Amino acid sequence: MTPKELKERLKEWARVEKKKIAGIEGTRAKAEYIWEYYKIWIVCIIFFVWFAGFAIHQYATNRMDYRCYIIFNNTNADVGTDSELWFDYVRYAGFDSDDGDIEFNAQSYFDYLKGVTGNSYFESFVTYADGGILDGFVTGTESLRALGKSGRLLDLNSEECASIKAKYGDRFIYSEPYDEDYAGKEVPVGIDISDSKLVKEYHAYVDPISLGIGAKSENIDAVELFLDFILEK
Amino acid sequence: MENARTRDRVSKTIMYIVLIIMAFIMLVPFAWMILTALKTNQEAISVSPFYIFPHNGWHWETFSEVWKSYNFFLLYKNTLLMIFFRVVCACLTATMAGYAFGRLKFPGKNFLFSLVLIQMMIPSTIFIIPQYLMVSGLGWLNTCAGLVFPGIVTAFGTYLLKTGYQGLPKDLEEAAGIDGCNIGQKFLRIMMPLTRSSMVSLGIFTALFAFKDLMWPMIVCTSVQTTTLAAGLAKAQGQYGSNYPQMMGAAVLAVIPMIVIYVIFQKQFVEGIATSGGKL
Repeated sequence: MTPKELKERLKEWARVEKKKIAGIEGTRAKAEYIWEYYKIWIVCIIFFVWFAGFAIHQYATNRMDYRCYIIFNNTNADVGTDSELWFDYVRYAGFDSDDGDIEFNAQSYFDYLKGVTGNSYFESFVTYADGGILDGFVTGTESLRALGKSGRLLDLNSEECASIKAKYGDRFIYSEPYDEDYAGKEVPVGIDISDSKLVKEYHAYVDPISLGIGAKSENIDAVELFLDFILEK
Repeated sequence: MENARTRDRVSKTIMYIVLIIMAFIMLVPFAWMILTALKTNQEAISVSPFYIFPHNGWHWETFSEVWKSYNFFLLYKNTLLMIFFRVVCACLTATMAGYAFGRLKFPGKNFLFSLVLIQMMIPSTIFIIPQYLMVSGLGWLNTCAGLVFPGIVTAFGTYLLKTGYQGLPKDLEEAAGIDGCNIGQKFLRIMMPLTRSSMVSLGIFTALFAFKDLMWPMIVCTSVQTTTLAAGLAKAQGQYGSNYPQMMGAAVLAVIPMIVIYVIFQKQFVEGIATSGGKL
């Protein structure tokens, strides 16, 4: 059926229906006829209008981004949202703990060095990193170094990390991204935090650990505050 | 005659033996899971093959411990709500789309249906980032609506129902048209009831996929209050990483709803596989 044929058919259908409805006596009888014959259409249209309105309203008013989203990988310690670490950080940074936009995710278990094919936690990490949600990522130093090759961690030499570089440049760990632009060039992809509060006070890790910043993070200041907090600057 | 009967009996006996062995192999992981849940941690990690049954008593308290520490009631509630809404939404949208693609004529039908098919050919993980951003934009993170979101429409279901509608005779629709039914009435009163078996298959597949879905609940539900059984179990793997009885206890509790659903809908499960030619 061509669009022209469809248009003609719809015109004909509208003409016949108008004639039919005009022939029915009484408003109630007309309404009953319309409901009986077109209830699916009516319900669907109402639903779609409602949903479109709801979606537009939500997109316009809902704050989409987290102020700080940090993943703590391969830890069995309670360092997620609402943990002692979380409260201490929120207090230190002067954020509002009721806002719900500071997220510490401690449900992540993968090692980039040992292969991540089919690992749902890694796929979640990729979603957060590529979706621009991920701000900080804490994991074993060697695993982070390997992950740095994927290009999902921010090059700490970049302009937006100038303040972090000034404070923690001596702690940087380097990796060579697979990206052609970086061929033969090592860039800083993480900060060594093995001697931080995270290990000493909160006992979240035993082995050397580092923190990387999501390549698409827009909350680098919040990560810097986190670094200041755990490294007691 | 006697020889043929003997041969028949022998072949049947061999077949039963093979089937019993296969059934046993299938049941071993479940038995291992239940027995491990009832052992002490030391027994559970023992490499001795003779530690099949618990030696130091049957530790039924593992289940109550896991139930309390994980709030399984909440996990069951969240999972069942997610399954219910996903099944309802999938059946509703797939049956309408299936009818449109299978029975109606409209411009761009083939192009639109090829888009549906393309969606089936692309790995679902590719859609996760845009879906996450949409759910986040709608303010549905950590909500049941967020959990249901990717299951509202289903390409597989649309294809399944389209095939179902195409298999129905045209005469039925024509007769309904002569009796004065419009498209909506033909769909709702005549055609849809006839695709019940396809919808049951779709419902079963949707329920199973929703139950097994780990990644999406893990991504959209970081709160314990809204997470599902699969994501809760994944957390147990992290928290009880070295406590196998606790992990297996959680796993046993997690499979109970599916076993109950299977027992109730056993006939439909088998019919569903036969109808759709799929595997569970």
